[in-house]
Order: sequence, then structure tokens, then C-alpha cells
Amino acid sequence: MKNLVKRFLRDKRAITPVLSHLLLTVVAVAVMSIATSATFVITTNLRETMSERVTVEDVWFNSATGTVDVYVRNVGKVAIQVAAVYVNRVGRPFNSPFRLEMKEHGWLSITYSWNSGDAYYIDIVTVRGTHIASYYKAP
Amino acid sequence: MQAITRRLKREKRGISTVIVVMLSLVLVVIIVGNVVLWSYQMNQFDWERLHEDVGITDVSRVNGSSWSVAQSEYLLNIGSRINGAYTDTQAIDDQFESFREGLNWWNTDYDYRRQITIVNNEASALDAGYSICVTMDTAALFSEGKMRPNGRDLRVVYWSGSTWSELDRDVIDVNSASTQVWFKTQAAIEANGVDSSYYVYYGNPSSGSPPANKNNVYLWFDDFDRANKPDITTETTYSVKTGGGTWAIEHDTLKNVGASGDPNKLIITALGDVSTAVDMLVKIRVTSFAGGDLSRMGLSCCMDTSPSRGSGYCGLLHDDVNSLDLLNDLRSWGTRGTYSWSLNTWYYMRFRVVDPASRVGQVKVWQVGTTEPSTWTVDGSFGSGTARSYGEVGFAGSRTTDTTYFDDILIRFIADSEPSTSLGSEESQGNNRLDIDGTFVIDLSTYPLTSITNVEIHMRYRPSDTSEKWYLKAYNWTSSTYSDSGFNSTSGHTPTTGWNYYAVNLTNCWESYVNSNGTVYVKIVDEGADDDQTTLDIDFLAIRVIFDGTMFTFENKGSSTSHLVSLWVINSTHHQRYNIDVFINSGDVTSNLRGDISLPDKPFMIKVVTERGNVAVFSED
Repeated sequence: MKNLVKRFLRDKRAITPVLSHLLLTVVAVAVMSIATSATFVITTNLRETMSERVTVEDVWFNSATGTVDVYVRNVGKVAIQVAAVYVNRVGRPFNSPFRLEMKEHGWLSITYSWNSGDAYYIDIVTVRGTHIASYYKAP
Repeated sequence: MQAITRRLKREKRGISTVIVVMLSLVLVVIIVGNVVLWSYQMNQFDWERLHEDVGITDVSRVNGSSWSVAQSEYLLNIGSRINGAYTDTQAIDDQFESFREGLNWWNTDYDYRRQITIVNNEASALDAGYSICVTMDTAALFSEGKMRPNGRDLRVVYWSGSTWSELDRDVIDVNSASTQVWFKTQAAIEANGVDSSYYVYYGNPSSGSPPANKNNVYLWFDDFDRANKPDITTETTYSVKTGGGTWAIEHDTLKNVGASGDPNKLIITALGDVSTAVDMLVKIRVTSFAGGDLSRMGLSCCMDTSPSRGSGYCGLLHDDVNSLDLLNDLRSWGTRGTYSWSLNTWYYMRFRVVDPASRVGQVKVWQVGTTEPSTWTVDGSFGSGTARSYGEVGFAGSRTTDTTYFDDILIRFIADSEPSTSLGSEESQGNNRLDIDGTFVIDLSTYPLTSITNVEIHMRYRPSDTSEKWYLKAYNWTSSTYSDSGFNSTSGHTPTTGWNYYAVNLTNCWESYVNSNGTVYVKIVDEGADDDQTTLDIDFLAIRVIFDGTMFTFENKGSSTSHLVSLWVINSTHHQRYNIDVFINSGDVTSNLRGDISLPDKPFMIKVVTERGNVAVFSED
């Protein structure tokens, strides 16, 4: 062991290759860490977006309140939050924030003056960009 | 491979390259695997959702529930079961259960009885084996000719709920207005609980000898009525004496001749360590008394081995013929009491230590043949010596050559607050009555209390005697009694020959008769006591609830099981959602009765939503 250390100290040429290998390893680990983190973020977002499933149980053109009440159920595998609601492609106010955990359900109340007998295209958009859209005819 | 390895060895930079390539591959595999697997799961979910096919095939109003029938045997309060079982009363099919009027009587040789009610006044359970005393006026019974003068037909019996058993009893002061009847409890009584399972029977002119073994009445009893024996410690039940002196059986009594020693005790070894308080009673007669501190005789308990076996708390005649003292053996003299007693005279001595740790003892002495004093002659402490715990019990002998006779030792457990007893009214065999209770349960998951508007009780029955009315009652949970108050009919039902139908409804008072868990107790009772011993056949007895509900019928035409989670009732003015939790297997049709859903007027629409998010619709125009 003693001889090995002496030999290492005498051989000045060994220092440069060691340093270069160390630096290369550190750089490789750093790059891979960044790549791993980015991968985690990307795949998580991708997976959550894929997991969103929302069902509209009922749409009530409520004459008593003058609103369009949509009963929404989250049947997906991730919580959802409604970012915007469009009626006939025009953004409308609703009871924001509207968030549903997995298997939760509740009324989404859209403020809109509807007319009896008219059909409306209601588009509910989540923060991840999922659209739940369909035509509904007011009674 | 060898070439690659050699090349790697030569080219040091290759290691870094390999690491980077491997990690990159791992990352790519994780990304692809994660996304692909998750995508597969969601695709599977979408596929199942796509193939789900649930429909609503029918929706209809329902006003009455199915019958709730007895699920356990009827409880017989008065009367007896002849044949059949409660299952025979679950359907109208001429399969019936039969009952007969009459009291559940222990022995028909005895004409009368009174029920004993024991109340445990302790905040803890009273163990079985406790000696109970009930006081009754037997002098009056003699004068009425209902009981034999010698009391031999005075019996105590216990009803376990299924069988009768006659108990040993000790009757004191028979033919008096306050006869004491002692017996031992057969079952524990819960804290502050009540037990009414005991009866005194009498009225049998030809009764034989009653069971009267006092060892089955008290914790310990010995009258020493056996052959003379110079040393009682040869008996296993009294195998230990401590200190000096002799203990012998002589002329059916226990004789102690004192001698030097301390403490001088005769221990009732058969009882071992007695772990709770006891009441000790003995007859005592002193025939030779030297007097002075060493003259002491009486009873002892809480005996242990410190400083030597036999050391305990004592109640003693001591020192002179005017003393009645408490002693904590070898630790301290306690309260010195006064009682004038005489040689060659029998006295009763009663001694007890209720709580050893408090060092309080109670002792009293009174002459045999006189009335027991109501108060303790000495009710004081055992002095300043260290307190004792419960332990062995027995007799205390003199430390000098005194001679003492003991007889009729009686020991029983005592609670801090002794149980109280009372006697019910006299019952005779001639009281032909029938009183039975049944338990019925409403399925509140199907018929919630909020949806119930009424409850009906129906009975199909056939009595052998048509001159007597029959009543249906129910347990009123508010007043804690059986009642028919508020029923649509409270006048009973007069039957005719053959099968009869009798039904009552509980009107708007039904809530008082239905427990929060849906339990309804129903009582069938006759009009009253009469001479006819009627037989009653019950073919059907059941209850049902009246409500305004809805029956939904669902069909699953899909290839996988569906879980229904939401139910909607929609009309022009209301969109009402209800929770539902129904699973339907593939190909099944199932009905779901909802007492909490009342259908609106037509037109209306019913929707049901599955857990996967599909919606089925049923419209009624």
C-alpha cells in the first residue's frame, strides 16, 4: 500500500486523466438528473391528461334561477378542475373554482340567459385542456 | 465480446459513454412504459364504458312493504307453547304454532307463588352465589290456609329462562309476620341491574322435606352436629390451627380450650383466601374465663401470615365480662367496646370488616332468644396498626386456659350496598292467561323512517274459546311499556269459530312503536284471567309498513357488471338526484325499492348513472 501511494505521488502524469474522468462523470450525472426530472414532469402531465374522464349526468335549464345547471361527475382517475365554460363558443361565468376529486360529483352552475326551445352547445374545459362538450336543448 | 472488453479496457473514456447510453435507455424505457401502460389502462376503461349497456325497464309506485315476520321464537310471558315454531307463523299456509293459556308454573302440586325481584345496588356486577334474604308474612298465609304451619311447602325456585330448579333455602322465624327466607343467587346480576327469575312457591299440603342444606344457602355453615372429636384439625375443612390451645367437637359444638400462643386461631381452610367482604355469625358460650388481657375469644377474618399465620382482624370478648373489643393481631388493639355478658350463656356474635384498608370493623353480641340489635355494639377502628387485606376466616381462641364453645357458624358475602328484594303479588294456578311477545324488524335500508307513513300488524289465529277477546299491542319506546294507545282499534278482537283475521294499524303514532333500528315488539294478550284454559293457534303474524315509495327495475344487457351510483327523477320543475348503490351482473334484471323516492306527476323522466359514467333514461308521458 505504501509503495502504491509513493508510486502514485511520483507519477505526475496520472493526475490529469483522473480529473478528466471525474469531471466527465459529474457532468454525466448532472445531465441525467435534469433529464430524469424533465421526464417525470412530462410523463406526469401526459398521464394526468390521459386520465381525465368526466360525465355530465344532467343539464337543468333552471327557470327559477335563470341559470344552466350542469351536474358533473368525475369518473376518471385524477382530480379535475374546470378552467372555462363556453356556451355557443362564448365564455360564460360559472361557480368558480369548480374542482372534483376522483368519483366526486356536483352542480356546475352557468350564468346564462337561455331561451326555451333553443339548442345550446355547452363546452366545459378543464385546466388540462379536456373538453366535455355537447348540444343541449332548453325545454 | 472479448474484443469489446479489450477495447473498453484500452479506451478509458468508453466507461462514461456506456453510463450515459445505459441511463438514456433506462429513461426511454420508463417514459415509454409509463405512458403505454397508463394508456392501456385508460383504453381498457373506455372499452368497458363503451360496452356497458344498462337500461331502466320499469318504474312504478309502491305503497306497502313486504311482510316482516318473526325471526326468532316468541317470548312466553304467561302461558306455554304446545307445538310448532315461530317459522310456522311466517306465512298463511295452515302451518301454525300453538300456545296454551296458563302461567309458566314450576310444579302443579303448589297452588301459589310470588315472584322475587332482586335489585343489585352496587355499581359493579353482583356475582352468582350471593346469599339473598326475602322477608314475607307467613303467619297470614297460615291463617288463610295457603301454607302449612311448619313451612315445609315454602320453596324457592329459579327460572333460568328455559328450566326450573329448586334451591336450598333457610327459613327463619316461620309462622311470623316477618319470616326470613334465605337462598343463594344462581346467576350474576349486572351493575345496578335487576333479576326477577326467582319465585317462592307454597300451598302444597302434602309436600315432602324441602331442600335446606345451609351450605348451599350461605358461603359457609357448620352446626358441628357430628360425633365428638378431640381435634377438629383432622378434618380437611379445618385443617389449620395456629398458636396454642385445642379445638375439639364436643356435644355437637366446637370447643376451644385456650393456652399460651399468639395468635390462637382455627382457620376454615376449606374457604381459602376470601377475597371480598363477609358477614360472620356464630353462637358463642364461655364456660371458663380467667379474665385479663390473655382472655379473648371470638371471630376473626382478613387473616394472613404477617407476622405469623392466623394474624387478622378480630372481634373478641376480652379482658372481662363487660368488654367487646376489636383487635388487629400483633399490631394494635382497636376500639374497646362495652357489653355485659355472663358465663354459661349462649350469645350470638356477628362480626364483619367491610373494607380492610379502612381498618373499620363492626361487631355485636346479643343473647340467643332475644332480638338482634339493629345497631352494632362496636363500630370502630382496629387501631393504628398497619391495615390488612382480605384473607382467611375462622375462630379466635383464648391465650389462657379459658373454655369457649361455638356453634352454628354462618358466613356469607356482603356487598357495600346490599341488594334489595321485593315480592310480587300472589299468583295462583287458576289464572288462565296468555301473554306472548314477538320481535319484528323493518328493513330501514329499504324503507327509511322518513318515508314511513304507518305500520300495520296482521294476525291469522284460531282460539279454542270464542268468548274471550284478543288484543294486539306493541312496545312503546317512548313510555317503555306495551300499549295500544293511538292504534286505530283498541277494543280487541272477538273471534269466531275457525280461523280469524285481526289487523291493527298504528296510525300516526307509529313512530313511538318503531325503534331507531327498525325493531318492533308485538304482544298478543288475552282479555284476562278466566276458567277456560284456551289454546291459541297462530298461522300468521307479521307487520308491514305503509309508505309512498317507488320500485325501479334495471336490466344489464352489457358484457360486464355495472355499478349504479346516481338516480335522477326529473320533471318540468325539479331535477332531483338520489344516491344509489346497486350492482347488476351481466344479463341480470334487478328491482330496487326506494321508500324515500316519491314519483312526481306525469310527465317525468328517470335517469340512472353508472360508475363508468353511462346514463340510462326512462320516460313516462
